[in-house]
Amino acid sequence: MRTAWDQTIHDFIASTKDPNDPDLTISGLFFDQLADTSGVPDPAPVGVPWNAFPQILTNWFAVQPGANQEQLANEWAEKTITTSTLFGLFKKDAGGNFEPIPVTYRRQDEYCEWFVERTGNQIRRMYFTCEPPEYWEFLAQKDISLVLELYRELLHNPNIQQSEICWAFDVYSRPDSQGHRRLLYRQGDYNPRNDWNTTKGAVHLTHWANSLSAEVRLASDGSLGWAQPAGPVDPHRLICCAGFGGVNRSSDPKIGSTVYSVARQGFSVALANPVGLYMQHFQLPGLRDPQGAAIPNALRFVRQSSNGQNILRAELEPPAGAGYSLDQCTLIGDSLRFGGQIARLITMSLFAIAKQIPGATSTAVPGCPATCCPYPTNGQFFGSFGNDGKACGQRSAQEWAGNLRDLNDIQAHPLMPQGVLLAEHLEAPEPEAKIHGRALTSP
Amino acid sequence: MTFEPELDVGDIQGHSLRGFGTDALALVGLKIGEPSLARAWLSALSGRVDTLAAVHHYRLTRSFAPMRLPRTLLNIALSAHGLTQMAIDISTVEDGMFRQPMGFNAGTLGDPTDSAQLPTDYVLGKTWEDTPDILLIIGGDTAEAALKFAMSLRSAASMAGCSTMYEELGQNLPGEVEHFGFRDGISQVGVRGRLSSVADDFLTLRRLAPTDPLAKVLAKPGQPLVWPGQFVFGYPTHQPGSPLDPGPNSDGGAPWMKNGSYLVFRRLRQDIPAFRQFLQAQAGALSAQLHRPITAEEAGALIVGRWPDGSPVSLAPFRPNASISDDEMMVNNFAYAQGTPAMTVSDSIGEERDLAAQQDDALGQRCPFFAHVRKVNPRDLATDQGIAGRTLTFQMLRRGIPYGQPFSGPDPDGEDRGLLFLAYQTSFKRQFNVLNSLWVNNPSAPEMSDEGHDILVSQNSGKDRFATLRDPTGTVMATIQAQERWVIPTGGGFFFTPSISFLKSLS
Repeated sequence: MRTAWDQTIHDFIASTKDPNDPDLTISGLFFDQLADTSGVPDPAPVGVPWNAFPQILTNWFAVQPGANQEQLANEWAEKTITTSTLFGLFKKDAGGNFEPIPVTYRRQDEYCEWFVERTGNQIRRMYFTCEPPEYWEFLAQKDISLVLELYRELLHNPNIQQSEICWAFDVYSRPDSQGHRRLLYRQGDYNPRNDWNTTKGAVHLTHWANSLSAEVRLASDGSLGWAQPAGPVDPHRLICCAGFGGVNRSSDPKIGSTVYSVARQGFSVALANPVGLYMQHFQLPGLRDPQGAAIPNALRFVRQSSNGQNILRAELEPPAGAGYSLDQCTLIGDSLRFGGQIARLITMSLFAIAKQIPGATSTAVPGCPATCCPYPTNGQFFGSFGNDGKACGQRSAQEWAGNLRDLNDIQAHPLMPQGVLLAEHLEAPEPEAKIHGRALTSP
Repeated sequence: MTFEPELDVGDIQGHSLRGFGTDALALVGLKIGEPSLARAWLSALSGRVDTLAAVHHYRLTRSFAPMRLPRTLLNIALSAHGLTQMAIDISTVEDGMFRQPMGFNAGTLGDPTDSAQLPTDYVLGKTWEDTPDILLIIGGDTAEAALKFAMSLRSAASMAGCSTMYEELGQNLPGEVEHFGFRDGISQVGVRGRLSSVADDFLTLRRLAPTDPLAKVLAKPGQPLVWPGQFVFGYPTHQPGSPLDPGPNSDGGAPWMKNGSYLVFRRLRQDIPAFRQFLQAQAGALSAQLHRPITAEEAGALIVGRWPDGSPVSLAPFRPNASISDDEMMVNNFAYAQGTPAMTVSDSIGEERDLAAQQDDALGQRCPFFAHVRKVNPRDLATDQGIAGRTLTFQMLRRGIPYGQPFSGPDPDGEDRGLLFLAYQTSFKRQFNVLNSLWVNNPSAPEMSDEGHDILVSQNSGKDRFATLRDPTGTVMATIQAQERWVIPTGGGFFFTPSISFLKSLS
């Protein structure tokens, strides 16, 4: 199984070299570490850190009075989004007509997602994961029983049934230009956004942009020869120009610009083996029980690398028999109410290597394919658009809709950008299965 | 022109936004005995508390009146416990750190703790019992003046039922260095805001030529302008994406917090012989790893990010440069991500001169990622916390001053000396805690995983720390390992410095 997974990673990397992909610019400086035959020794990997809490929510709520900002962002970070349009999944009804399938995902888009297990206001446990959906789909294809076993173990629930994590019907794509639909999943196939991984628990990543293939593509795109001013790289300006990820995130601008900074010096770049996204640092000594005592063993790393450095899954819960729940605890003096309070104290990381490979050359990208605009009523929130020369003030609601897809259910607040602009396209079909390079996680 | 708010100079205490700038600073910690008496006393004392207007006036005039009698200044801060004692409702106060004694947060701060997570080295602030309810901040032109005033305040406090539980004198050392011998307090952000309704009556002097495009964002080279709501409640905050526009007003969660600031006080003991010994050892270790001679002084400069005279290694990578350190327009004229562009500045007598552009150091080739000045102030760098514009929002106004006698060494003398670290902000969680806990004590932030700890001041819960010097690809060239600590946090507290009107209202 390990060999097959290695091949999957090779395939992700190879997909960034696909000459038939019209949306792709192949980078001459992005390479596959394990397939490298240059003979140039690999240096030690370098880690690129970012914070796990969705920066997009911090930016969105930035226009709120100070005391509200963090609270609102924490609250909304936990509310899942259900869409019948974004993923473009359909099933046949009894009459043979295709009807859209509602799909639920988390709006936690920094490659780290969490779920808070609540009973009413009581918080029993929190799960944090950064495992990519591709790995679990891969695992399910090989051994669905193992996946079920892991679900039961990771979510502490022996009653989860296989039928609950698998599709109950065949799942089809949107029609292509000829009106043909592809069969994406057969009945009984693993459903990565099943209830136990969305509204009832968290086993792996669900956000449309949180995927390993997206990480690979981002690293490849970052190594292109973007049209940037000479000298050092401004991550915000670069991502606005390149459009290779979410401009409102902490992760994508940081990852892309770090790769680009090295590649523009002529170094070839690879994601270090094992390719993945990891939780690297938790700053949680401020967690206290209801009596004010420290709870040193509340955080458990459930899935991690053998050296303990690369954490894939963590759980937070009171010690066995503690007699209290997490909501009765405090974190740095505040009542623990949201997983976001913890996420703000998690440092994420991915690892890359850079070396000079003789003959490898940068692939120049003329001009900027994308551009950014601040939101009309919130200068801290940016949208990414095709670089068509249009002034920011001329961007339509439809153009903004793609940038607001993870926010458009947030109710209008007196100080918030009004819902008028958003409501217009709430249920509009998503024309693209890819948003500026960071692909949707769909088959 | 960017419209900057008019600050309530008669209601804001002056130490926060302006700093006393006195050679001596006495801290007096009081415990409240009888709350009603304490309230009445503080209310009566509010008329003696130095406002922003008074402190500004003092700083403008003191150098022109050298023969006058030594002056004293007074500000007052209160702990959450003190406020509660005086029946002030703090239940809606947003910042949880404020509601706890510092000792309770020792683990979060990275300070060594015992099995109960209580700090092992604190002499003050471990619990509410040994945290001042009231902290008097007393500036003096001389130590004698500060101490004399402190004595009279203690006496008055005693009559109001308050007992003195802590008193310490801070004094500037010759050359404005801290005890390790490095020039301190060089770099501060510039606070936006006006002292009156006059359009250009700015709190922070603007030293860039008005015609220079950077004059909108810099007070002087290396001193970015930040909106006052980052430091005082009730004013516009700094917006990362649009730094020229005022953000929503800072709001601590209770109306009585307007015109007040949070104050973090850390008593940091410094072990000078230990630090010097470490630098000597590192000189040898780094020389061997980097295959070139490294002196103890250079090892120190790499760890601090500046040479002892204040020259930043970003501008003076190989040796201190007095033409930089002596020039207030150059000593901070560096930025890591973008470098600094050419600019035109006005010197102290109003003459304009041009400064050349300065190179970036994005890859940490001159100032290492782990250097103290880079860790606690990444300037124009994007960090793990987001875009470059956000980096400024974590900054505080630092008002620290050394305590204890200078070390005359070389042998350990057993004396207690160090720094009374004082810093103002409007969020402990989003300012002090980000710098201290998420960066200084986190070896994998703000820039690179495993870049290392801030070797100078990090604690890492008393465990070993490390730092890595890297080449342009990020490959490790040398590693610094540290087992000992030479900065030892020995206590402190989280305080609120209220408005004058709040103090007055306590009657």
